[in-house]
Amino acid sequence: MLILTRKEGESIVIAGSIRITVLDARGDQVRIGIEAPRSVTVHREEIHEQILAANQQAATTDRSDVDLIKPRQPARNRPQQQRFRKPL
Amino acid sequence: MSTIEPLRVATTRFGAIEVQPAETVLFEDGLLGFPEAQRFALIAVDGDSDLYWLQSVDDGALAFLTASPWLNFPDYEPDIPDGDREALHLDSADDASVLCLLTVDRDREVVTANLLGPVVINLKSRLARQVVLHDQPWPIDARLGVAPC
Repeated sequence: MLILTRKEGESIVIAGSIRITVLDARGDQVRIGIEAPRSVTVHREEIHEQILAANQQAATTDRSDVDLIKPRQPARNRPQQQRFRKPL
Repeated sequence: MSTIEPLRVATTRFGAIEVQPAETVLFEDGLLGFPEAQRFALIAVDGDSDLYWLQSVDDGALAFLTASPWLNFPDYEPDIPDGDREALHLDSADDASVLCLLTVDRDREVVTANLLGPVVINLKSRLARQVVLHDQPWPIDARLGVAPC
C-alpha cells in the first residue's frame, strides 16, 4: 500500500485523472473529496463489499431456481410503471 | 452485403447458444466482483414471467437471474446518479431498462432482489452498468413474495 500524509486542503492525483482531496480532518472523521472521470466508480468500501458478496451469491442461481421465483411474482395484469426519483 | 455472424457461447446452464451481437449489452466495468465480464446477453425465461437471464458471452458459466423490480416492488424509486446516467449516455427513461439481480436460498426457500445495486441498461446505446445507489434506502436483499404491509 502506498502511504502518503496530507494536510487539510491537500490532494493526491491518481493515474493523471483522479484527484483525491482531504477536505477536513477533525476528530475521528476525515471528509474526502473525489474528482474522477464519470466512468470511474467510487464507493465506500463497505457498500462495495456488500454488493460484491451479493453478486457472487446471485451468480450461483441455476435453472431450477426459476420454479421458486415464479410463484413469488404477482400476476402481471397491467404494464409496469418504471419510477425514477429524478427524471432521466 | 456481409451478414453478421452470431456469437456462439458454450453456456453451462443452456448448453451451446447463439447470440446476435446487436442484442448483447456491454458493461464497460463489468459487474462488481466480475470486472472482466463485459458482454452479456439477455435471455427471457419465458413469455410472461418478466424474468431474464443475464448470460455472460465471455464466460459461459456466469449468468444471473434478474427481474424488473417494479413487478414486486411498485414503490421502488431509484435515483440514478448523474455519473451513471452520463456513462450510459442515458437521456430518456424510455431507453432505460432496470433489472435487479435475484438471489435464491433454496434451503430457506427465500428469494431476494438487490434493489441497492440495480443493473441499468440503455436499450439504445446497449451500454449497461450496475449502479450503486449510495445513501438510498433500498435493501440489497428485498424479499420477493411477501405480502405488502
